[in-house]
Formats: sequence, C-alpha cells, structure tokens
Amino acid sequence: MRRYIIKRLLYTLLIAWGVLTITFVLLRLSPSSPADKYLLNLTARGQDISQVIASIEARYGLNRPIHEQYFQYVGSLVRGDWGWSLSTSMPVLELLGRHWVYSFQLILLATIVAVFLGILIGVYSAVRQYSRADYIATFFSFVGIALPNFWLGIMLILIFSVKLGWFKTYYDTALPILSLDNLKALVLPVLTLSTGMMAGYTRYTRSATLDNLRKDFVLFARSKGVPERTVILRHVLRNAMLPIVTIIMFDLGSIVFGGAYLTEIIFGIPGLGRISFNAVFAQDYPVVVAVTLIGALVVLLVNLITDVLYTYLDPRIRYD
Amino acid sequence: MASEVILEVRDLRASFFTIRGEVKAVDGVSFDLARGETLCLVGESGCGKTATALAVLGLIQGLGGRILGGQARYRGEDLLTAPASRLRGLRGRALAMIFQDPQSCLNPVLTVGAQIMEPLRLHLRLSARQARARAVSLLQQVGIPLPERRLQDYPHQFSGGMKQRAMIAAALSCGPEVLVADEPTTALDVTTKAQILDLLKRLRQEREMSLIFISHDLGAVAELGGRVVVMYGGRMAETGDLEQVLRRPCHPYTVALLACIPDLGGDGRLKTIPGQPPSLIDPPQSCLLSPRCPYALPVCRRHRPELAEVAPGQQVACFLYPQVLARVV
Amino acid sequence: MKSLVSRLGGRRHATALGLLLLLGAVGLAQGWLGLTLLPPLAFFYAFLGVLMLLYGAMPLYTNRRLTAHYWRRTRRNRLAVAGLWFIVFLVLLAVIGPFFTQSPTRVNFPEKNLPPLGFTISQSTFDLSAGQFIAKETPGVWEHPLGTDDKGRDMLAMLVSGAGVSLQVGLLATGLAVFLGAVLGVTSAYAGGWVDNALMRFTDIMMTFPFFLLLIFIVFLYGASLTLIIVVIGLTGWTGTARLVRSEALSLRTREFVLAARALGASPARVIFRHLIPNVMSPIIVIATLSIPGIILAESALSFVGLGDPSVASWGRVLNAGQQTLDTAWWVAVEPGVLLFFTVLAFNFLGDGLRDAFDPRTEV
Repeated sequence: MRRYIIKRLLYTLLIAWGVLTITFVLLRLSPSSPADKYLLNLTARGQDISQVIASIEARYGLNRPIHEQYFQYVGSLVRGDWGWSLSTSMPVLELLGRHWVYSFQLILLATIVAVFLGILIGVYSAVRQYSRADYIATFFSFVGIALPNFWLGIMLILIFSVKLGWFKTYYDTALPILSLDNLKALVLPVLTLSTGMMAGYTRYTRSATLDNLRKDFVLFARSKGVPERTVILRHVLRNAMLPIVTIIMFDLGSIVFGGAYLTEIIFGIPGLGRISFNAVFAQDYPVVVAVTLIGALVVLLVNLITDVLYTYLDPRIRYD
Repeated sequence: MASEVILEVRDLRASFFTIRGEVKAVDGVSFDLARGETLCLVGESGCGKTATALAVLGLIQGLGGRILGGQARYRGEDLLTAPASRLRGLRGRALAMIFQDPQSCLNPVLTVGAQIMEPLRLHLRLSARQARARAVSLLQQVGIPLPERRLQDYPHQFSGGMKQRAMIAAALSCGPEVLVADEPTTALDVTTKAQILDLLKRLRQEREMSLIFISHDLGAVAELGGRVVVMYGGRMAETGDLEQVLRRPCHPYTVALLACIPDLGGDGRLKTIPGQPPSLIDPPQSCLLSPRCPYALPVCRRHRPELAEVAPGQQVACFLYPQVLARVV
Repeated sequence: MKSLVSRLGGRRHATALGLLLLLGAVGLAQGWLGLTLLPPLAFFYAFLGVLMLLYGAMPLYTNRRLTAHYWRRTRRNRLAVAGLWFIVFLVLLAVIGPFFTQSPTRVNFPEKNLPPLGFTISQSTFDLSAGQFIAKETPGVWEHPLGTDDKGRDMLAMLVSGAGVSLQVGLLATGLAVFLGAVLGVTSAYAGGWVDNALMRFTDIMMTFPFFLLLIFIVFLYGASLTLIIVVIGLTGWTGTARLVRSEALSLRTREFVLAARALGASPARVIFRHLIPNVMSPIIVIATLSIPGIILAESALSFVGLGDPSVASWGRVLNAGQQTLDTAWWVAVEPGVLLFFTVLAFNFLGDGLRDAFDPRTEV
C-alpha cells in the first residue's frame, strides 16, 4: 500500500509537470506579453517606459532563449517562488493564502449539504421505490441536474434578495469570516452550489441502492432477522458507497474551478475562482499559472485519496 | 416417530407482481413439519419451491411478492399474520435459511466473522467477545480449519464450498429449530456437494433440527430422506414419504422427473421432459401439466386436480386416479 | 485503387477519409493563399456533415431493421421522445426563427424594459410633456411577446439567435471532441504498448486541467469568436470519449468475433473499421448526446462572464445583461435560463433514453 501511494505521488508530479509545461507553452504563444498591461498603466501615468521594459525583461528573463526561461520558471516554482502578482502587488503565494479560505468554506459547506441530503433522499427514494416520495425526489433530481448553476444563482438572488430582501448578496471581507453577516451571505451561494451536486448524489444513491437491494446478501441478512434499518445501512449502503464516493470525489476535484468558480463570481465571494477570474482579465499571468497548477494538484490529490478510500470501502480492491 | 409438529402450512398462496402481471408462484401449498424431520421440496426451477419458503419466512415481500392467503403456523402461531417485528425476531433465531449461491449471499464488504456474529449479537444479545467465541466454535462445527483466523477474512478470500459452510454457520448460529436449505449444493462441484450434504445431515441429527430441503436434484433428496413434496407450477403435484415417491411415483410429473436422473446403466442419453414449464401469469383452471403430459385426459384440460390420498401417507393431484376424479364429478 | 479502398475497410471509410482530406486541403489552401472560400464555421459543418452522413445516416439506412428496433425501444421512453421533440423544436427555431423575428441587436430605447405579454410593471419614465419622471404602468405588447431588455432589444429575437449559438456550439464542438476522442481511443486500444501509454498519460494531463479556467484563459488571450470557442472546447473535451472508446474497444478486442476475424487473417485496418468502430458506435452516440448539454452550458457560462462572441446574441450574454437589471427587468435574466434549462434537460433525457435503448440488458 505504501509503495502504491509513493508510486501514485510520483505520477501526480509527472502529470502536474505536464500541466505546467502546457500552461507555459500557452503563455509563451500568447499574442500579448504579460508586461503589456503593466506598461499601459505606467504610460498612462506619464512615466518613461524604456527603463521599465528593460528591467521587466531582465526580471522575467524575457530576453533569454525560451528553453532557459522554461527551466528558470520551473526551477523557481520548485523552490517555492511562485512569482509576483502584478495586479495586486503581492507575492502570488500570499495572495492565494489570503483567499483560499473563502473558496474552501463555500465548497466545504456546499459539499456537506449536498452529500448529506443527497444520500438521505437517494436511499429513502430507493427504499420506497415507485412511491409518491420517490417520484417527487426523482423529478427534483432531474431538475437539479439540468439547472445551470449560474442561472440558479441569479434566480435565487432575484427571489430572495431582490424581491423578498431576506439575504444580502455581497460578502464583506472586512468582517471576520465566521461573522453572522458573512454566514448569512453564504446561504444563497451554498444553496446554488449544492443543488446540482445534491441532485446528482440523489440519483446515484438511488440507483446504487436499488442495485444492491436486490442482491442475495440482502436477502440472507433479512433471513438472519436483521432489522430493515440495519439491512439498509450496514449491508446495502456500505456496498452502494463505491459509485457514490466516486462521483463525490470527482465533483470535489472539479468544483474548485467549475461550479464554485461561477458561484463566487455571481455572489462576489473573493475566493480562488474570483481571484483567477480577475487575474485573467488583468493579464496577471503568475496568478493564472499558479491557480491552474493548484487546480490540477487538487484534482490529482483527490484522485489519489479516492483510490485509497476504495480499499477501505471494498476489501476486494488491493493495489499491491 | 410422529412427534410434535413445529411448522404447519395450510393452503399457502403467494404471488409476485411484475410489470407483465401477477405471477402465481405459490398456489395452495400445504405441509406439516415435525421436530427433527426432513421435508424435501422438489421440482423444476420456477415451480415455486423457493417462493414457498420465502413466503413462510416473510421474506417474499422484499422481493416484490405478496401473500394472498393460507396459514403458516410455527408452534401454533400464524407467521403470515404476525407483525413484521415478531417475524424478524423469529428469523435467524427459530427459523433460518441458507441459499443457493454462496458467492452472492455473503456481503462482500463485511468480514465473514461479522456476518456470523450478526444474529448472535442481535438475537442473543451476546457481547462482542462472547459472539466471537461462539463464531469460532461454529466455524469449527461446519468444518472450516483455522477458525480464529478465518473470522477476519472477507468472503472473496473463501472458496465456494467454504462460503457455503460459512453461510450455514451464520444460519445455525442461534440454534434454529427449522433450517430451510434452498438448493444449497447446486452451485458447488460434486465432491463439495457431498460434503455439504453430509454436513447438513450431521447437523440436523446433532441438533434435532427440522430441515426443509429445496432441490431439483433427486439424487440429493434421496440422500437426505424424509418426506417429499413434488411441486409443479406453484402447486403440489404429489407428496409422500421418500420411499413411496421414489419406489411408486404416482404423478406423471414425478415419473418424468425420476426418468430424468442419469444412471450408469442407461443408454447414455440424457432424458428430458418435453415442453416448457408453464407460465404462472394468469394460469388456466386446468391441470398445468396437461400440455406436456402423455396421459392427459379431456378432464385435465378443463378442471384443476386437487390432492387426494392414493396410499397411506401419499397424496397425488392427478385425474388418472379415481380418488382425485371423484372430487370434480 | 481497389486494393487501397479495401485496405481502408470499404468504400465508406475511403469516402470519409477522402472528403476529410479534401476539407483539410481547402483549409490549408485558404490559410496559405489568404483566400476566403469558406467561412470558418462552414468547415465544421462540412466536417460534421461528412461524419454524420457516413457514420450516422448511412448505417441507419442500411440496417433498417436494427434502426427500427432501436427506435422502438427509444420511443417507449416518453421522456426521451419529449426531449427529442424539444430539440427538433429548438433546431427549427434556430433555423427558421431569424426570418420572422426582429434584429436581435437593434437597440431601441423608447421601447426598453417592456415586460413579456401578460405582465404589467410599474416603471418610472421621463415624460417629455410633463418634463419630469412619472410612474407609468407598462404592459407587455404583441410586438415584443417576450418583452425587451434595458436597451429595447427584442427578447424573442435574442433568444432565437441564442438558440442558434447554443446548438452550433453544442453540436459542432461535440462533433469535434467525439471524433478526436474516438480516433484516439481506438488507436490507443488497438496499438497498445507505448502508444497507448503515451496517449493515456496525455489524456490524464488534459483531464487534470481546470477546464473552465483554461477555456476562459484561451478565449481571453486569443479573442472571443464562436469558431475559437468551438475549437477550444472540441480540443479539450475529448478525454471522456477517448477513455470510454478505449475501454470498449479493449473489451471488444478479446471478444470471439474479433479473434475469429484476426484468425481468418483480417488486416488491422479491417478489424478496426469493420469490427471495432461499428461496435463502439452506440456508446459513442450516447456519450455524444450526453456531453452536448455540458458543452452548451460551458459556452453559456463563458458568454455569461463576458467572454462570448461579441458579435452574436447568446443566452449567456442575455443572462449577463439580465443580471445587471434584476431589479428593473427580471424577465431578461429568467427567459434565457429557462430555455437553457429545458435544452439541457432535453439532451439529458434523450441521452438516457438512447443509452437504455442500446443496452440490451435494460428492459424498456
């Protein structure tokens, strides 16, 4: 097992390197230089830019051949120097350090809500297959899956903020993260983000539970006099967890720059999504590279955790 | 040795409800089971043997089935009308069941030990340690070597025969009075099959347990002895002692079934019963065997034969016997 | 010539290859000579048309009995049929609609913020005769059945135009992505060895990329145009298909009929084209149908954050505009979302229905 994890970590590094390289190439192929925006600001303020160009080129090594630039770039990344954010005037790592927590709390809350409710509704709906509750749950899971996340966010703002005035929709970074106001400001974003996931989990849980409800070992458990509740939780759900965990972990990996990204933009939450969005428009490349890399690392790490989780969920899976 | 009757089934009727319609899986089955007795339910697949057992144990509901009528009295108490919680308390403790396919009957994500200890902890309220000790001795009794270690294994680490033994251990853990064995040897190879049959015979004698043995394999049935119920199309075709049914089969279906046993002295050709088992969706009011029966009379296609005694202890549902015919005319 | 055709596994594949090469040649000629024989989107249409005709319509026509069988199975799923009808409706709307609606870009301030028919809102407008702002009841009017936005553009016209954008992106990008995925997947499975290894590692890298960030980034760098958006989505969206097709092809490779064909001395090309590709077609059709909604959503999200093609009115753009005027004109944000929702739902239903129809194990 340990050897497997080490092997996987090495593989993770390999893939991360691939992502990094492609990002680098994309940047170098881009028609506009990272310095342009910065220079535009300076010229607008009436400064002489020839010296600045020289210093910038020296600083970023833009005057050197491309392979040297590449090695320098990878080298500094490995040393922990993730560059300087031009648009916010601080080291990239510091910028990310300040803002990751906003994404984290949004994603954490939304995932907890979605996983808890999704599995609960899914199991209930499977146990009461073809009941009215099952039809309602199935209907809403189809709706939830098809609802575009960003439109749902806007509709929630329209109904709850504009028409009813229940929640404010802006997040105030001046207030502490766990202040009541900011938690209230998180209600709609969490709802926005969790609806689609919850619908998906409901559907997966329902079908996985139904698959396992018809298995022989469930019949055998019942023949031993095991109470129905225990049959469902201990025998059915434990076996149904594998596909459910797969989809949950997939969401966790892709959510940071998927659903959470748009949610942050709509609700003005200053998380990583918002930061990277601003960075793209400000042509703040070091930040773009950093968040791309982090996005990739999150996916890779989540994949690794998923595979390790599998061995706990299903004793038949062994990696050695 | 007519001792006390433990299980008394009367005119049991149960159906599965599917998209295609109602499947009359059990249609008027009756039998008595005495203490320490073996009862064999025999017939082709789909003839309602398993459904009968599932209905008695109250397990048929979870599979889309419904009990439509009759009685199944365990020590005088009707199981069919008992509340679910009472039935659950009896299952695994007084009435246990083992199934055909040991590969799929053990939960793959729980250790074998946990699955054997489950009924002990539930019904007898044993502590984890006591349950464990009991499980070790159970594994020993069913003949699994190194029981302490094997308790921690998962089902996929067991062979097919060992899984069947583990399942028997789990079913017998609380010392049930009745064990239903649903084709326990079908999925096993010949040697393992003989071992499991011996094991069942031994355990039945040691524990004075009643056994309902469900099988299509008359060879296995002959080995266990006891009473035999031959089922066809959800109905009882013939019932009697093993001796009677084997020596003097009265129902054409039993005769055909016996002819199908491959024997060494035959011409080497495997005999089969021509035709298909009947569809149990909306069955006609006639003898269900009549389309396949070489002796079918006109009356067979119009009326349904009821069981009638043709010899002491032997009952047959076939119009070839005047006792049966007498009931419709 | 004949041997070449047979080595390619039959006339159909040879035709497809020829047409695709021709298309590529025209494209290259255009690039080098600076001519504009065809607009960029026309290439995609031609490309998709060739594939659909030869690998979609032709097998459906030659295997009429199988087609009828699948159609019967699909038809039993009422939701799938409803989805199909909605998609047909949407296609008609996108194709015929523009001839009947007003210009989606015509700004007309006097008619701004008109609610949809059947609604009346109270608006403060500047009354010239009174010389001051007055509250005025504004009802919906027949000329603008779905209302107008804050610049007086007709909502119906914008939504019709948006339907075209969404369908174009959805179909063309999916066509490109699925084509790439299928080619790479079959290659990977058939070649095995280091080719398979390299391709799958590359697939892993592409799957790891934060897709939407990449999309925003590239579109921002190279300028937003429908063609670019389609190309980028097509070039990044093939990973799922590649994996699926690879695993399907791998399991087919060891199946008896393929082994029998190889034992009889069939060439690799023949095995690929006659045995592997026809048998992976149904999962490909299903995954294509099911990936269309994701791609449509990606384009809408892109336009929503302001990176859509600025020359066309797409649902995402209207939605973005609607977000700014939520308090004065709610319908601007509501209407495109409703259409988007039903479009996604329709493709999901159809995809699920097709999957069940193609799967012999499910009872429909």
